[in-house]
Amino acid sequence: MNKSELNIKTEEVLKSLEGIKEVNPGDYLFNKIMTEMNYFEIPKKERKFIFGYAAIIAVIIIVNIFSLLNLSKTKLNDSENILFEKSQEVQNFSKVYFSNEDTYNYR
Amino acid sequence: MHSEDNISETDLIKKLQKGDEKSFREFYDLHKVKIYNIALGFLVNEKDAEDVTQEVFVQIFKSIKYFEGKAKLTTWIYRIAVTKSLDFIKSKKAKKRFAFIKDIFVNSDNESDKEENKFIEFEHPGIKEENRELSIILFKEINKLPEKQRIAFVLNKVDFMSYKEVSKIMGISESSAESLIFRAKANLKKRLEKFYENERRFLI
Repeated sequence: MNKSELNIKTEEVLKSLEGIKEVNPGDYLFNKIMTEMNYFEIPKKERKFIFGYAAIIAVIIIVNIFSLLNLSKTKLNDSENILFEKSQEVQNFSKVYFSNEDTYNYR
Repeated sequence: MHSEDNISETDLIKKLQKGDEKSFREFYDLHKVKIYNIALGFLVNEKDAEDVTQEVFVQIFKSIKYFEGKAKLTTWIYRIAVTKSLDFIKSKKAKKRFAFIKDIFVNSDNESDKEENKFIEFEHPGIKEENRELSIILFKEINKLPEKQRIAFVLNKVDFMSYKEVSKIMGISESSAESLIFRAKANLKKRLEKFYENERRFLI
């Protein structure tokens, strides 16, 4: 490519902007902006309250989850204890009933 | 006619400052095309330009109450559009750098997963189809220009603003704006010559 060809090519590139048309943004853009605006329009104080309420609700939910988990754990322990007591009872009964000497005289 | 325009502009500003939602729509309809096209001229990507247009309008609506009328309203809003566009380019460059580093450390075989591929460049729907390829080369070189030259060149050659408008938006004299555009064009010529020289060498 000689100097004049290079010049022509460069000019062609610079001319590529000629006839450029204005473009319209999408119709949905205004609604997007208004949604964004509504967020900003909530006063800072109100926004603080919203975050405060959200934090309180989150804490309540977490406490509830923990207490539910603890409750199910203690319930499990109770049922285990009942089973253990029952088995002890059966064992004692069987000891008395089957293993002890028969003191009754059949004669 | 000019004074009528001024009166309606003042009225509109007053209504906007009072937070009248109807006048937000009116203001948006009046300026959406120009703001969108300024952003498009700098970013050359429809989605990015829409994001910047949104940011510009939110910024305008938020700070219109502080507008004192020292500059013309259009000058003020176009200045916001230019600043937001340049900020967007800077943050995008920073993200790109981070993505490049991430790609080095996080091995991904899938090409579509690579962060770098998420940046789609140079899509200006207003450019004629036959000029598309050449304009891609040009925009790549425009982006490498010094900031002031780039702003002046884009506003004048892509958004077709006069030297006077460019000078007001940039806060410089008309002759400085003219000189910036002249230097930008000369720089672009040099860069393009270098580009084609390199291309020729590569082909040989």
